[in-house]
Amino acid sequence: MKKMLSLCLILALFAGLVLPVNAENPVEIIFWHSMGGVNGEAIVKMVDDFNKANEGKIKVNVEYQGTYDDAINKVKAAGMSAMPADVMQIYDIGSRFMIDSGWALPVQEMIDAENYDISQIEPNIAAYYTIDNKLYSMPFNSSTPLLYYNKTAFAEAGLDPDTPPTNFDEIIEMAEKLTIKDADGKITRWGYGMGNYGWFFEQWMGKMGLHYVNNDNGRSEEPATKVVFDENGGAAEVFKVWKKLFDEGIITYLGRGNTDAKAAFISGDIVITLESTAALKSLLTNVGDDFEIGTGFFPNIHPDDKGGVSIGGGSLWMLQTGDDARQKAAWEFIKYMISPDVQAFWNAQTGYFPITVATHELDAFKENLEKYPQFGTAIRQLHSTAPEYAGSLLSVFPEARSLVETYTERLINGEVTVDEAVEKLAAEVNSAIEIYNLTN
Amino acid sequence: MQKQVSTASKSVPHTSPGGRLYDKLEPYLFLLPAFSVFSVFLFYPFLRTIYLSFFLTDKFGNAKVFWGVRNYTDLFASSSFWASISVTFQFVLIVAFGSLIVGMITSLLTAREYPGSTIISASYAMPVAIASAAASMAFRMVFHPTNGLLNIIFGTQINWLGSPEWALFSVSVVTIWLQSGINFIFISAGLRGVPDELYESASIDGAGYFKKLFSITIPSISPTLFFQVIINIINAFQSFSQIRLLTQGGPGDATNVIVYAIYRDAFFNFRFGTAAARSIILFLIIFIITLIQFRFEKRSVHY
Amino acid sequence: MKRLTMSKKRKLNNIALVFMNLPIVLLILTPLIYTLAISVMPPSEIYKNTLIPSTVSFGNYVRAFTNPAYSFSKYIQNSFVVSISVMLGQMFTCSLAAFSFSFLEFKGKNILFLLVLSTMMVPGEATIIANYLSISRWGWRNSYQALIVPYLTSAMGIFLLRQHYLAFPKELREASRIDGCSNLRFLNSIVLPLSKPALGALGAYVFLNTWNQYMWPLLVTDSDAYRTVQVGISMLYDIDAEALGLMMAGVIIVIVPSLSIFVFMQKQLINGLMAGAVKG
Repeated sequence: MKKMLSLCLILALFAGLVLPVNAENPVEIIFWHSMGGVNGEAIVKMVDDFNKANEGKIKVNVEYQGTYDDAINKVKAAGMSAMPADVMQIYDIGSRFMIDSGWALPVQEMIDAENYDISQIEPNIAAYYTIDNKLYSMPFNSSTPLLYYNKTAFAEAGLDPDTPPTNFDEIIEMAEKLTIKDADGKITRWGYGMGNYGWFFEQWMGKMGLHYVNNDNGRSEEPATKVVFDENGGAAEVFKVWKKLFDEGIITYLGRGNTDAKAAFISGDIVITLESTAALKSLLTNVGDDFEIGTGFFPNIHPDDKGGVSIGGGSLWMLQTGDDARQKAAWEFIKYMISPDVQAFWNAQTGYFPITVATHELDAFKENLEKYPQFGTAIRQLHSTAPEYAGSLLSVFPEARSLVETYTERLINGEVTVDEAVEKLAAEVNSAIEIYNLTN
Repeated sequence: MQKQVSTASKSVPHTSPGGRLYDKLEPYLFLLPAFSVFSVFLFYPFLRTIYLSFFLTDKFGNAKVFWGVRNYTDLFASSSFWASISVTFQFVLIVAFGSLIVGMITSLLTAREYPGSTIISASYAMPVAIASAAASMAFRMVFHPTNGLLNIIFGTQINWLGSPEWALFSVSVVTIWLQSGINFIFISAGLRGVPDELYESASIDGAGYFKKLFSITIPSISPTLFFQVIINIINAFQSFSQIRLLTQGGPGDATNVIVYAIYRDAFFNFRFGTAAARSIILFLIIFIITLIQFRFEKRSVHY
Repeated sequence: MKRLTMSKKRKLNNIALVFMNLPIVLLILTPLIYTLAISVMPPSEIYKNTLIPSTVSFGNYVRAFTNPAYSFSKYIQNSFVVSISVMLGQMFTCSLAAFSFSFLEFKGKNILFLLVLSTMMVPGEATIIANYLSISRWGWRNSYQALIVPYLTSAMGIFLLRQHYLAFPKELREASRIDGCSNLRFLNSIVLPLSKPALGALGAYVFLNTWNQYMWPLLVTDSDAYRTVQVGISMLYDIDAEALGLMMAGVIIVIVPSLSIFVFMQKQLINGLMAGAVKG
C-alpha cells in the first residue's frame, strides 16, 4: 500500500515536470547587468515595475554580474555550454566581440519582424551599434563625455561662469587663473584635472575627425587589422596635450579611470574636469550645495577640430537561446526598457541620456531638466555630432584601451617621448589585433 | 590514556580488520579524499595550463594554433615581462620581511600579560579576519592624492597610488597590514614555546633585554620564523586583489606583479596561452625559491 | 621591602608597555576606523577631508539591507553555509591525509607530500578558468556545490595538522598497537580528541579564508540566491555612480561577521596554531 502511494506521488511529481506548461505560468527570462550602486538600484526598480505590469505573462529575473569586464568573462565561459541569460548588458567596447561570437540575435531581426519604428531611437546613438544597416543591440545606458566645471570657483576667479572652455588652449589659459597656491608655493587647488581614462583618447580621435583603426574604423564586414592613430597623427596630438599639462605643472596625476578625479572635483580640489554624463546625478548628489556645477561640451584638442563625440556606456544584447517564447518575452522587455517613461526615469536617476526621442516631450523629463539644466548639455552635444563619428569597433578594445592608459602613464613619467609612446603603443595594439585575428 | 589502552581486548597485534592487502592500501585510502579534490581541481587544471601554454587560444580559451615555445620566448623577449619579474621580487621581499618584522614587534610587545594585553593582542591579530578586497577599498581612501587620510595628516600631496616612486610602497603597505595578523599569531605562539629557564639563566648572567632578544629569543624561535617567511613569500607571490583594486598594475609597470599580469592576459586580453605560460613560470619560481629556503633551513635553523 | 619595589616596578613596566603599544594599535586599526567614519558621515562631509563625522547616521546601512537591489541577509547566509561546509570538509580530509603522512609508512610518501606542498605554489589564476569550465560542464553553475567542493581540502591544512601530529610521542602509537587498536580507531579515539586546538585553529583559519573569497564566487554564482558576501559588497560600487558612504558601509557589514568569529575563536586560533607551529 505504502509502495503504491509513493509511486503515485512520484508519478504526480514527474507529471508536473514533464507535462506542457500551463498557459497561466509566465515566461521567465534572465537579464544580466553590470550596474551597481545607485544605478543598480534604479534597474531593479524598473524591472520590478515591468514584472508587475506583466504579471502572469512575463517574469524577468534580474541578476547583477559584476563589472562589465567580469560579466563578459562569465558569458564567454558559460556561453560555450548554454546561454546563461536572455538579455545581457554589454559595454560599448565589447560590441565587436559579441558580434563575432555569433551568440547574439541582432535586434534588427525583431525590429523587422514587427516593423518596429526605429526612428524612435536617437540616430546618433543607434549608429554606434549598427553595422551594415543592421542594428545588433539595443542602446540602453548611453553616455557621452562632458566637461564639468565649478561655476562658483569661476565667478570667484573673475571668469564668466557661463562660458566653459571648449578646447585645450582655453583650458590651459583658464586653469592658470583658477589655480591657487599657498604661502609656500604649493598648489592647493588645481584649475584642471582629469583621470587617465582610455575612453577619452578614443573620443578625442573622433573629435579630430580621425579614425582609430582601419577598415572603416572597424565597421566594415572585414574587422580591423591594424591601428591608424599613429599614421594619422591623432595619437601624437593627444599625447602632446598630456605631456604639456604635466611638464608645465598644470595638473597632477589622478590615477586611472575616473574615481579619483571625481573625488577631487567634488571636494573642490580641481575646478575643471572631464567625466561621463552618467556621473552627473552622483556628482550633483555628492556636491550638494557646496558649489554650482556647470557642464560644457567635451573639449577639442585644437580650436578648429571639426569632429564629434561618440557613445559610451552599454547596450542590451539578445542572446540566442533558441526558445521562441523567451525571445519574444525578451524583446518585450527590451522595448519596455527604452520606452519614453522608463527612459525618463532612468535619466533622472542616473544621468545616462534618454535614447528614445519621444522622451524629450514628457513632463517628467522636462521637469527634471528645469531643475538640473546641466542634463541638457549632453543632449545638445549629442545632437551636434554626426553618425560618421560613431566611433570605432575593435575586437581587442579592452586591451587597447588599457594599453593607451599604460602608455599615458609612461609618457608623463618621462619613460618615453611622445613619438616613442605612439610607436610602441601602436606596435602593441597591432600585435594584439594580429593574434586575435589569427585565432578567431 | 591508560584507560583507553586497557579496554582494547585483542591479544594478537593484528591491527586492522581487513587483512594484509588492506594494511598496504590503508595509507593511500586515507589520502584519497584529499587527493581526489586535488586531482580534479588542482592537478588537472595545472596540466591543462601547461598544455595551453604551448598554444595560441581563441577568445573562449580553446587551444587553436600550436605555438610551440613561442609564448615563452615572447615573454622572455618582452621588457614588460622582466619589469614584472623585478617588481614581483621587490614586492615579495618587502612584504615577506616587512610583515615578519611587524609580527615580531607586535608579538614582543604582548609577550607577557598585562592589563589590556588581551584587547591589544586582538587588534594585532585582527587583519586575519579582513578580506583583501575590503581592505583595499578602505585603504583607497587613505591613499587618495587630494582627499586621502595620509595626505591630510602629513599635509603632503603625494600621489601614493599614482606615482611610480610610491605605488609599489603603497601596495606593499596594504599587503603587510593584511599579513601582519597571521604573523603575529604564529610568532606569538613561537615565543610562548621558549622555556623561561633560558631567560632566567641569562638574566642571572647580567644580560640586558636586547642581548636576550638576539642570543636567546630569535634563535629559539627560528623554526617559527622560517616557517613564517615561507608562508609570507608564498602569499606575497599570490597577492592580487589589492593590485587589481588600487593600481591595476600601474603606473606603467610599477606594480605589475606576475599574478596580476596573468589575470590581465587571461581575463582581459583573452590570451590564455600567454597567461598559462606566465603561470608556469611563476610556479617554477616559487618552487625553486622554496627549495632554496629548505636548503637554507638545514644550515641555520636551530631545533 | 623587596616585594613592594618589585610590584611597583611591574606596574611601571605595565604602563610603559601599554603606552608603547598604543601607537601601533592605532596604526593597525586606523583604516577600519576611517572606513567606519566614512560610512556614518553625512555625504557632504566625505569629500571635505573630515576625519570625525559631525553627525552619525546609519542610513547607508539601512539602505544596504532594505533596498531590493541588494540581499545582504541572503549573502551573509550563503557565506555562512559555504564557509562552514568548507571548514568541516577540510577538517575531515586534512586530518585523514595528515594522519597518513605522520603516522604511517608507505611507498612514495615523500613524493606525495611534496606534491601536496607544491599545490600551494600554483597560482590561483592558473586553475580558475579550467575549474570554471569543469563546473559549467557538470551543470554546477550557480549552486552551493560549486562553491564548496573545490575547496574541500588544502595543502595548508594538511601541513598544519601534520606538524601537529608529528609532535605526538611514538610511544602512544606503539602502546595502542599492542592493544590491537586499528589506525582508524587510533585516529578517532586518541589523535583527534588531543588535536582539538589544532583543529579549532584550522577551522577558524579556513572559515575566514572562505568568507573572504571573491573571484571564485563571482565567477560561479549568477544570482542572489547563491551570491556570497564579498561579491555583495562589490555590487555597491559602480563605475559611474559614486556612493562612497554606501560602499564603506558594505565593507563594514561584511567585516562584522568574520571579525566576530575571530574574536570568539581568538583563543582557539592562537593556541591551536601555536601547538602546530612550535615543533619544526
